[in-house]
Formats: sequence, C-alpha cells, structure tokens
Amino acid sequence: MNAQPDFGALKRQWQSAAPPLPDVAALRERVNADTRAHWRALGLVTALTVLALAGSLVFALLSPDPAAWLSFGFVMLFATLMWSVALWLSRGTWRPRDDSVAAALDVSIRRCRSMVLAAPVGIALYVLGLVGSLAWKDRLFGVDWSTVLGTPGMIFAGWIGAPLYAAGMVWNARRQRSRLKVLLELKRQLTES
Amino acid sequence: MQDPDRERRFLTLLNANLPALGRLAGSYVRSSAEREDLLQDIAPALWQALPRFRGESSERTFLFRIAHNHCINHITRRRPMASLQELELDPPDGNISIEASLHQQQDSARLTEAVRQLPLIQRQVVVLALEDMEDAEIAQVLGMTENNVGVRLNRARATLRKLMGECP
Repeated sequence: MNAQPDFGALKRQWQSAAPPLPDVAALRERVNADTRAHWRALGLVTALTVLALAGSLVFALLSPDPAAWLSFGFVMLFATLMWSVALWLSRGTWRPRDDSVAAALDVSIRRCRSMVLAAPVGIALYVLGLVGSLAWKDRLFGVDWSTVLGTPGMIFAGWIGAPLYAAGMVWNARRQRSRLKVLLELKRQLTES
Repeated sequence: MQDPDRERRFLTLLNANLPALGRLAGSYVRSSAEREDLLQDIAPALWQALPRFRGESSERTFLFRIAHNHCINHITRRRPMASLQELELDPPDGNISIEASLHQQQDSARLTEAVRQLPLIQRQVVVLALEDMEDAEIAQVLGMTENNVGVRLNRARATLRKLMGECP
C-alpha cells in the first residue's frame, strides 16, 4: 500500500537526508546521568521522610514529657497519609500497558489528570500538616498560637512557604490542563476511524 | 550501565538506527539543538524499556515506538498550545509561500519541511512509511489498526504532494 512509485522517490529522498547527530557515547552518558538523577530524587524523598520520622522519634525519646510520643504519632500518621495519597494519585501511571503510542498516550493522560488533581490535594495536605503541627504544639506543650505564628519556622513554612507552594501547584495544574487538552485531541485522532 | 548484554543491544540498536531517529526527531522539531535534546531523551527511555522487549515485534519497531512516544511527550510538554495547532486536521494554508520559501533549498530539506507541516497524526504515519515500514509495522508502533494506517497514509500522501507543490 505504501509503495507507489512517487512515494518511493520520496522515500529515497527522505532516507538520503543525514542530519547531524550526537555521538552514541554522548547518548550513553545521558543514560547514566538520567539513571543517577532518578535514584537521587527517590532517595531524597525517602531520606526526608526518614529524617522527619527519626527527628520526632529522637525528640520523643529525649523529652521528659510522655506526650511527646503523641507528636511522634502525628508525624508517623502524616507521613503515612502523604505516601498513601501520593501512591493513590499515581495509580495507573507507573508504566504503559505496552510500548505502543496509544498506550503511552493513555498513561500520559492519566499522569496529567493525576497532576491536576494533585494541586488541591497537595495544598490541602500542606495546610493540614501546618495546622496539625500547630495544634499539637498548642495541645501538648501549651505553646500559645500567637507566639508560634511569629517564629522563623512558621514564617518560612507558613507565611512564605504556603503561598509559594500553592502558587506552584496551581501553575503546574494549569500547565497540565493545557497538555491534557493536546493529549486528548491526539487520542481522539488516533482512535477515530 | 552494568548489564553487558543490555548495553550491547542498546548500542547496536542506536548505532543502526541513529540516522533514522535523527530524521524522525527532525520531523518534530526544527533546530538541531532541539533535535539533539530529543535524541538525548530517547536514549534513556530506550535503555529503560529494553528489558521489557519480548520479541513480539522487531527491535526496530520497538525502538520507533519508544522514539515516537518521546517525540509526542516532548512537543506536548514544551508548547501545549502550539502542539494543539499542530494537531489540527487541516494543513495550514499558504502552500504557495511554503513553495516559495523553500524554492532554493535542497529536495530533502523541502521534504522535511513539508513533513513538518503535516498534522501530527498524518506526520507520524508518513515518517514511518518513509522509513520503509510496512502498514502492519506502523500499526504496531502507533497502536492503531492497519486499516486506519492505510486511510491516514493516503491522506498524508495527498497532503504531502500538495505541500510539495505537486499535482494531487
């Protein structure tokens, strides 16, 4: 079907083109760099979780106040909630069912939808974590809310961090929505007969 | 890279198909820097996907699937709105200006430019056909039926002829 004479000439013309290319060694180095970056990112997130858990465990062990164990419990609970939500959001987005373009499109569409949904969920979790940690401090250690609101930690994580985080998530969600539109249109074209 | 067999297959596939991959990338992006970026994205994807290759198709078909997926990802990630325009089913008007602007260039450059002007779905099919793939292989790469490939290829050829300034 694709062997008409005029198309054959176009084929020869097309295949005679030799665009300048990077060498294979450079591509191989890119593979190594990407593998290292992938493991570094995963390691960083895991390390942060372990650090938060270890920090609150040490704090609970050293604190004379037995209520400090409740604080450790809150960190454990929150870390579990965050990882569970992250895993729930990424369901069906790990890899395509096969290596066809249609399968890759499906998985890209799911990833986009998951990232759009991650914006409100992520912002809600951030606020929950912030309010939760303040509530625990207030309940367990009798720290006054108004004092906590002016601490460097709260200024960094709350007053500056929260709006920046929310803006970043909203920006990313908008970007993903635009991308989703393109992917859905492409899928429609691929599947229409 | 600590798997000698995987590395050998990876390098063999890349060495054998690098020019074709370059042409494929060139049908999605204009600048040589962008084309290199795209090829450098395809290489790690191929490395990661190689263990999943079970021999249901040829390694070349498998490689083109990976490459196509990354080309689509590349253009939808970088310029969503421009990508949407690229998906339009009707080719852009102004064939005369394309003809005029490309008049002085080499035939292969004219062909590459004409291929870039094709709507994305037609471009995908025609690039694989230009790389000597049969309709069945193209269907495997793109995950569509052979019949669909035939229909799209016919449309793509007609559009391509129009864009190249030939009589339909």
